[in-house]
Parts: sequence; structure tokens; C-alpha cells
Amino acid sequence: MLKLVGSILILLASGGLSYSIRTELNEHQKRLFLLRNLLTKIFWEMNYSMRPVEQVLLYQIETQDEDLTKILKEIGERLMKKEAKCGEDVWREVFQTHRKELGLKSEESELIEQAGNAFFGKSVEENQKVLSLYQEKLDFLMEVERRERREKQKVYQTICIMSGLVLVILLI
Amino acid sequence: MRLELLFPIHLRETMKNLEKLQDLEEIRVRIGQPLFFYTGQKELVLLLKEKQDKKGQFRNSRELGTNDNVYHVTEADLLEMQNYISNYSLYAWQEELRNGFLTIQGGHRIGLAGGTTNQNGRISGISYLTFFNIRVAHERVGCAGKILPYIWNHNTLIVSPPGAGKTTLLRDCIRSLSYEGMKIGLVDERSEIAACYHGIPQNDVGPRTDVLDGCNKSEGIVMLLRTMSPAVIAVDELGIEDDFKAVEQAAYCGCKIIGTVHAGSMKEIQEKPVLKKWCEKELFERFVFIKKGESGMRECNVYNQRWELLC
Repeated sequence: MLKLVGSILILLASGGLSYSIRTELNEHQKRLFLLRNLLTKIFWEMNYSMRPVEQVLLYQIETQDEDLTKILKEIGERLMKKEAKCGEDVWREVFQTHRKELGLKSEESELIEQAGNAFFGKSVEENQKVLSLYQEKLDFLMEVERRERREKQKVYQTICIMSGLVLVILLI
Repeated sequence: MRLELLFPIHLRETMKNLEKLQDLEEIRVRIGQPLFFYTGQKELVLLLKEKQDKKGQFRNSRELGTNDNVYHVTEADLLEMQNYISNYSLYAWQEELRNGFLTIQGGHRIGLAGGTTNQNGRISGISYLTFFNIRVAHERVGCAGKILPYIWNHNTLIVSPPGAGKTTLLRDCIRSLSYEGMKIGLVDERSEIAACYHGIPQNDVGPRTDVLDGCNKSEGIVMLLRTMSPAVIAVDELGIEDDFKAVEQAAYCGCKIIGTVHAGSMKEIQEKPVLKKWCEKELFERFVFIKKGESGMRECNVYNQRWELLC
């Protein structure tokens, strides 16, 4: 009886692990999409209101993602203090500090850190051109991620279930 | 905004006591030149860090025989300042760059010059910002107290030569009338009176004042008249025929007007071609002439429409 309960528990745990990995992969994809959306939103908000970046980030941009909201507010506050020579540096430094919280791959993180260049240009046109460049790169990364995600989900799911089964067999 | 935040980081420590400089009116920043600070009658320069002593970081420029001890502005300084002045957002100031000035938080105004870019024969912007004139905001609360009883409920024109304090007096009239309970509509074409920063007045213009910022005077007067039902419309630097036509329209709608105009004397007012016609029509019932004495003290004389001195 005990062996049966133990086996069920191990199988449930491996199923749970597979589910959590799957959710994590989905979340990662969602966050990339959210970031892309956010860059567009910031740009259009700047373009519409013609307010400085700091004000747009502090008062006009809302995201559902708490981590991102925190990062944007921090950038806005640091810009207000005027302690950096250029705005791009502030954007990059803050995103670098919060790299772990965002859970992005290094290539994606670097791209987001550089994307700040699209908001501190001399004109709206310049910002738009730079932004479209980063969005293209991000789209490419998202496409790669989408393709890899399905394969990864299958592989992780199989590994989790199989290792659960192996463990059950070993323990029996 | 603290003024030192407009300057490069390496200069901020020495600029910390900037607000303590008495009567600071202007700061001039020019590429390759010393940093000039104008306080009342004095022209001060910033010394190099190693030359600063107990006397402080500033010296009267006339006391210095040589420029060797003086800090000179570099291109990197200007680029850095450009970021701070624009809040790292030059894109948001395109219209202001075209006009050659911008108003920052605190109501300070920054005049800009450098290499201009042209489109269709008109200035479309400034590509190299290499000259800044930072005009420190000053509010003289209560300076209109003496003339208010004379101009109350009358169409008034404030007259003086440039730099004598027309705008300051007009601002105080607006504030005082607004606190007294009158609804004021202010057309602030060059953001000099309310000094709006993103739509928020940085100067106190009273609780009952509506501001139309950066708007052409004649259009603004008509717009305010239609939409905000003001008891008084205030406008700075009336100059062209259209402005006076709009003023006349407002006056015939039961609205009172307070405006300013450039003139060196009261006689000049009567002889100005544009103004002559409106004076003959007795559009304005009061004229306030500001005289600036050699010590910098201002004196105001109030005249009625028949040019009789009231005070």
C-alpha cells in the first residue's frame, strides 16, 4: 500500500514539474511579447503627449507585470535626478540590475538594455527608426523562441515523466 | 528644479550655492567661453576649481586681469547640459527649439542659439546648441499693489522700454486680481507670464486664472472669450494690428483687458502708428508707464485716456 502511495506521489511530482516547466516557458514567451508591446507603447505615448521620457515612464505607462512596472518607475526616478550624462545609460543600467528578475536569456536581455536608444533621440523620427530596428530583432528572437518552445516542452515533459517512472521502478 | 542640475556633473559641486547668489538674473553659457553670471549690476565668472579660495567660486569679471583662472565651457559640457535641460528628451522640445527658447520646471527660461536648420526658407530647428541664456525666474509679489486701485475695472495698457519690468508687473496684476475674485483669461504666447511647464503654471498667477500657453495673441483672445468667459483678459506685448482688433472685440464683449506694449515714453505711445488709432478710440482707459531708475528701482505712473496723470 505504501509503495503504491509513494509511486503515485512520485508520478504526481514529476507531472507537476513538467507542468511548471511548461508554464515557465509560456511565461517567458509572454514576457517577451509584453516587452515588445511596452516598447511600442512607450514610443507612442511619447509621440502623442510630447512629454519627456521620465514623465511618460513615471505617470503614463502602466503594465500588468509588476517587475516591469518597478523597472520603469526606477528609470523615471533616476532620470529625474539627472545623475547620468545620457538617458540611454540609465535605461541600460536599470535593466542590467534587474536582469535576474526578468528571467530573460542573455541575448534578449542585451537587446532590451540597448532598446533604450530608441527613446532618447533628437527627434520623433529618429526614435521611430531606431525602435523599428530593435523591434525587428526582438521579433526574430521571439520567432526562434516560439519554435524552440514546443520542442522544449515535449522534451521536458517526456524527461520528467520518464524520470518519475524510473524512480518508481527503482524504489519498487 | 535646482539650477545646478542643469550643469555638467563635474561642475555641480561648485554650483551648489547658486541660489544664494543675490539677485541672480541670468547665466550665460557659450562654447569655449567663461561661464557668466549676472546679478543686478555685476558680471561674475566661475573660477577653475584649483583657483577657488575662501572668497568663493565666483569673481567679478572686471576684477580679473586674465582669463587663465577662469573655467571655460567645453563642447562636452554643452552636450551634457543639453540632456539635462531637455530632460534627456530633445524630441519633446521641437516646437520650442524652433522658437529658440524653452521654459523649464521652476519657470526659468532658457534662450537657445547655435547652428540653425532651415526648411522651405524658414528656421526648422537648431542643430548645434552652443549658446544658452538661462534666465532665472523671479516673481515680485505685491509690486502691483500701488497701481491696482487705479486700473481696477479699466482696460489698461502697461508701457515701458524693454527690461523695465512690464511682464513682472502684469503677472502681479493678474495674480492680485485673481485672488480678489476675478476670472482671468491669460494668453501667454511666449510662456513668460505663467511660465507653463507641460501645461502647469510655474509662477503663481492666482486661483481664478485660465492660461492659454504658446498661443498666438489674437487667436487666443478670441478663443478665451468664446470658451472661458473671463472677466479680464491679460496679454503680453501687443504689437500688431490683429492683436488690437482682438482686444477691441473683447472690450466690446464686456471683457476688460490688461496688456503690455513697448515704448520709451508716453509720447511714443501717442505717436505709434498702430496704437494711435486705438488710443483715439479710447480703447484703453488707463496707461501705466514704468520708469527704471539708475539704481534699478522702478517707478510707476498711471495716466487716464486723456493722458492726465492719476498717480
